[in-house]
Amino acid sequence: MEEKGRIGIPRSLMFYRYFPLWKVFFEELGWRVIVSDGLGKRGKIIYFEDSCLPMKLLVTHSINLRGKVDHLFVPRLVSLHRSYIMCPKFRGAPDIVRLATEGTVSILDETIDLRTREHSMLRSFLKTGKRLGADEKEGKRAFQKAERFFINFQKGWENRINVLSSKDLFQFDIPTSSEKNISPPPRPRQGEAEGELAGEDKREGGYGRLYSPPPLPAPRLRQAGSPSPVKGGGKDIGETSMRVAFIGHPYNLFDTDVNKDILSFAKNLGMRIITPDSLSEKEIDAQVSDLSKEIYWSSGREIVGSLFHFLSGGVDGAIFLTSFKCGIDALLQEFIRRRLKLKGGTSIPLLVLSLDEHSGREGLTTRLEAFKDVIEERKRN
Amino acid sequence: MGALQVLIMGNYLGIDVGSITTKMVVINEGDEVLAEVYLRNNGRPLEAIQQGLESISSRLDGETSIDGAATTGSARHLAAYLVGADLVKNEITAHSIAVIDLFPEVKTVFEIGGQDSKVILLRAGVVVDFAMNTVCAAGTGSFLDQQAARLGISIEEFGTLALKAKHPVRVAGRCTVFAETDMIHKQQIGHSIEDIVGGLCDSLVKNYLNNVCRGKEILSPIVFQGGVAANQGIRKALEKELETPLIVPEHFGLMGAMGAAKLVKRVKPFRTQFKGFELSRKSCLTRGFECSECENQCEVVELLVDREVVACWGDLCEKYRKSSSVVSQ
Amino acid sequence: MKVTFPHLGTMHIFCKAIAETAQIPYVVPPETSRKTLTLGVLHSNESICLPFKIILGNFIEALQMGADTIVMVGSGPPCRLGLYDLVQKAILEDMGLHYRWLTIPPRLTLQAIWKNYKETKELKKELSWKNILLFPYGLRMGWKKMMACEALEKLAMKVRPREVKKGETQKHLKKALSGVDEARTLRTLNDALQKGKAILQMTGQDFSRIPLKIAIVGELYTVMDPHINRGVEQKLGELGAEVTRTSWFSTHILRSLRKNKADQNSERIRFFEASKAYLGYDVGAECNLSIGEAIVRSKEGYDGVVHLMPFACMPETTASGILTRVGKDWDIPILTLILDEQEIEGRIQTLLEAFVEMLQWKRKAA
Repeated sequence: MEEKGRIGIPRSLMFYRYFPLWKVFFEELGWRVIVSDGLGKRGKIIYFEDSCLPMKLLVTHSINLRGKVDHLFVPRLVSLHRSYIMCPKFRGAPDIVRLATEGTVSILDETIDLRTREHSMLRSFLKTGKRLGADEKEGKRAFQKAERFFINFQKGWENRINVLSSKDLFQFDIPTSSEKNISPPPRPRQGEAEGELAGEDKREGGYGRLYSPPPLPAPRLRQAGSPSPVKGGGKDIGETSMRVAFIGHPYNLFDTDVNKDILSFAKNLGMRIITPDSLSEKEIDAQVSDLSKEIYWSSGREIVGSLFHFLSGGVDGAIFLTSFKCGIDALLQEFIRRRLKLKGGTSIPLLVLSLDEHSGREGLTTRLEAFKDVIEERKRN
Repeated sequence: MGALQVLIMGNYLGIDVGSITTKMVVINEGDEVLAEVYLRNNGRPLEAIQQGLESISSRLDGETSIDGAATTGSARHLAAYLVGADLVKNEITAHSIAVIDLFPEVKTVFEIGGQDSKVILLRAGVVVDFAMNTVCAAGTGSFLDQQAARLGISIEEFGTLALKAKHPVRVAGRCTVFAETDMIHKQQIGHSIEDIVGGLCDSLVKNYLNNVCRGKEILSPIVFQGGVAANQGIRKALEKELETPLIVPEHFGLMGAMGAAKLVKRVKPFRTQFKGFELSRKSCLTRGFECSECENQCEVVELLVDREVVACWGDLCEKYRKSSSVVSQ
Repeated sequence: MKVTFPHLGTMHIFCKAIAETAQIPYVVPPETSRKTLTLGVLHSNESICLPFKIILGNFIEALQMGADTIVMVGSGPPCRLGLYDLVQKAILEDMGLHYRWLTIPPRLTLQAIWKNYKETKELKKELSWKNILLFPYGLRMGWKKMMACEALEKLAMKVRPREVKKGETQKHLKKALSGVDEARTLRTLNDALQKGKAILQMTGQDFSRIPLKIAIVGELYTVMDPHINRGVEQKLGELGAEVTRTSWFSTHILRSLRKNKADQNSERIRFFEASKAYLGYDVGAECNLSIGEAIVRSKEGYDGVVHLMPFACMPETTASGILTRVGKDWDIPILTLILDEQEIEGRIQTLLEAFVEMLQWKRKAA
C-alpha cells in the first residue's frame, strides 16, 4: 500500500500511555506517523497560555510539527474511563493547539468520552478514520489491530521501564525479553504499511483501568503487581533491590522534559520502579471507595488509590511526581497529606517532587539520593 | 505677548515612589530637565521623599518655583498626601506618556523596576494594551539585587560581568529560592561567575518575556526603561532573545517621574497644592492602628507632619479620613 | 446545633435569613479579612485555588466561634470546586476541629438526594417540628432577600460611575443591604428594598457623564466576592465605568435547579453559543461563558472586559489563553487579573486605573 501522508503526534500528555495504540491505528490505515522530538536541555518552551508544564509542552510539540505533517492528532480526551473524567484542560486542548498553530495545520480532534456509550473509543477512531478516507470496515480492522498491540504492549510496560532507557520506551522494535511473544509493530522500515501482528492475544478487553470499554471491565493482565516481584526480564535487578513506587500522571512519570529523566537516575541508584499500572482497578478502588465524595478525575483517583495501596505495604518507598500548577495534584496532595496523618501515618517513606520548567536536575537528584538513604536506613533497622 | 509667555512659563515636579527607589524630576515648560534625583528607599519611603525634595531643591536655583506637582508609583498616594500633589497618576500611564512624548514612533515599552515589571503596547501614540506582573516578582530588579548579594557582587558589577559571559549557564528563574539553589550548585561544580551572572540575566529575561509579555504582540521599535535598564547584561540578553536593538532613553530610570511631571504640566493647576521644599526639614511619620469599632477591623494609617495629622486612610467607614484635596484622576 | 456557611458576596444574607426564619441557631462567619485568608493559606497547599483558601478560613473562624454544622453548596465535576468538601473535611478533621457537614447537592439527582438524606438524618433529630415547618417559609424569605440584594447591587453598579463624591454609592449600598438583612417579614423586606433603592438614588450623581461600559467575566467566586477580587467591581465603578456581570448567586442556583433552559438563562446560552467559534467543547465551570461573553459584549459595543480568575484555576487558564485571541479578533481590550493570596490590592488598583484610561483614549480616538 502506498503511503497516504503523514500524521503528527505531539510527544506529550497521553502520548505517554496511548502512543502504541495511536501509532498502529494510523499505520494500519496507511499513514506514516511522525512524532515530535523531545525538547532536550535547551529547547524552547512556547508560552501560549499560562498552564502546567505538560500542557505547555503540548503546544510546543504541536508547533514543532507544523509544516512537517498533513494532520496533527490531538484528540479531545474528555474521559478515558467509563465513570471518571480527565482534567478539564484536556477538553480545550485541541482548541488551544488550533489557536497556537494559527490554523495552519489540520487537526484530528475527535472527542473520546468513554462515559457516553459502548465502544466510544472505537467510534471516535472510526470518525478519525473517516476523516482520513477510511471506510468503517478498514477503520474497525485497524483499530482492532491497534488495540491488540496496545494490550500486549501494556503487558510488558513495567519491564520496559526498568530495562530500557527512557528514550527507548516507545521504540517498539526493541523488545524486552518478556515481550518475546509479541513482535514489534508491523513496520520495520518506513513505507511498508501492511504487516501482520504475530502472537495475537485473543483475550478480550484487557484495558483494565487504563481504558475500560463498557460494559464489563476486563481482567487485568498482570494481577496484583505487589508484593510479588515483577516477573520476566532477564536484566531484572536482583531481588534485594529497592522497590520504589512512582506515582503521578503518566506524562509526569515518563516525559523526560517534565521530570529531567528522573527514572533513569532512580534506576542508576538501584531502584526497581513500580508504577500504578501494575495495580488492578479493584485494588485502587479499595483505597478510595469509602471517601465521602467520589474523586471524579480518573488520574486523580488512580494517584490517591495507588498511593495508599503502596503505602500499606509491598514497596520500600513511594515517590509522587506532581506538576506545579496542576490543579488536580495541588488539591489531592493536600488531601493525601491530611488523610495519611489521620490514618496514623505510614512507615513507608514518601517523597513528593513538584516539577516545572524551572526545576533543575540537580535539585531532583539530590532529593532522590537522600530518599534512597532514608530507605536504606529504614531497611537496616 | 512676551510678558504673558513668561507668566505661563512654569516648572513642574514629578515624583515616582516605587517599592525600592524614589525618583524625582523637575521640568520646565519646554520639557527640559532642571533637576533630577534617584535614590533608594531602604524601606522608608517618607524619609526618601524628604531627602529627595532636599536634594532637588539644592539643585535648583533659588528663583525656581514649582507650579505643579504630580506623584506616581506604587506609593503615589502616600507621596501625594505628604507633598501635596495636584495630580496622582498610576505608573503605567505615567510611563506611557513619557515615552510617547519622546519617541512617538515607539510600539513597545519594556519597563522593569524594583518589584514591578510591565510591558506597554503603543500604536500610533496610544496605549492599546499592557500587562504587569501580579503574583510573582521573579522578573524584577529585586530578584537581581538578591542574586547579586548572594554572589557577593554589587549590582553595578553585575551588568559588566554578564557581558563577559562566554557560556551562560541555565538557572531556574521561577523564584529566588529556586534560582539560589541552582546558582549555588552551578558555583559548586565550577562554573565561572561571569557565566552564572550571564545565566541569571537570560533567566530573568525569559521569565519576563514568557510571563509578563505572554500573548502580547511585541513590535519594534522598543524602548527599555526602569531601573533595570541600567543593567547591560539584561539589555544584551533582551536584545539577543528578541533579535532587535532596544532604545534606552537618557533618563531611563526617571521616566515615571517625567511622565508625572508632563501630565501635571498639561493640567496646569491654577494654584498648586505643593507644600514646598521646607517639608524636608519637618518631622514626618506615619503611624498605624487597628480600629476596633466594627468587625471590619480596618488598619488605619495616619500621616503626621510636625506632630499634626495631615492625612488618614485605610478606614472603610471614612470616620478618620481627612478631606484631602488630591485630584485622583 | 449551630449552623454556619461560607461567605460569597451577599450569600450570607440569604443563608442567615433561612436559618433565622426557621429558627435554627446559626453563626455568620466574621467578614472575610486578612486573618481569614491567613488561616486559609496556613492550612492549605500553595497551588490550591484562592476560593478554597478563603472558604476554609471562613469555616475555621466560624467553628472557633462555636458553630458545629457546616452547610455548603456542593458542586460537581470537572473543576476542583466539586472536591472542595472532600479536602476541606480532611483538613478540619486533621486540625482537630469538630463539625458536621451538610452538602446541598448541586444537581437534584437521586444519588445526591440519597447522600443528602444520609447526611441530614442525624441532623433531623436535633431539629424541632417548628424548625421543619418554618423551613419552607425560611427558603422563601432567603430567596426574596437574595433577589433584593441583587437588585440593590445592580442599581449600585449603575449609580457608581456617576457619583459626584467618590465612595458615596458604596456607603449607601452598605446601608441599603443591611436594611434588607435586618428585615424580618416579607412585608418589611419589601419596605427595606424600596427604601434601599431610594437611599441609592439619593447619591449625588452627574448625569451628563457617559460612563465606559465594562463587563466582568470569569470564575464565579472571583467575580462574585469582593473580598476575593479586592473590590474590582467597586474600583471600576469609582473610576467611572458602568460594570455588568452575569454571575450572580441566583444565576447559579437557578442553573442547578435546571430551571433556566427557557428564559432564565437565555443570556448564558447566548454566550455559550458565541464561544463555539473558539472552543469545540464545554470545558466546564465558566470557561466557555467567559469567552462567549467577551465576544457578545464586543458586539454590543462594550468598551472592555475584565477577566477574573484564581491563580492556577483549571478551566479559566484555558479561557485566558483563548481570550488573548478573542480580544484581537473582536477588537475589545481584555484585562485578565489572576488573583492569589499576596497583597496585590495596590497592583490591582494600578492595573484598573491604567485599563480605564486606555479605554477612554480608545473611545476618544474612535
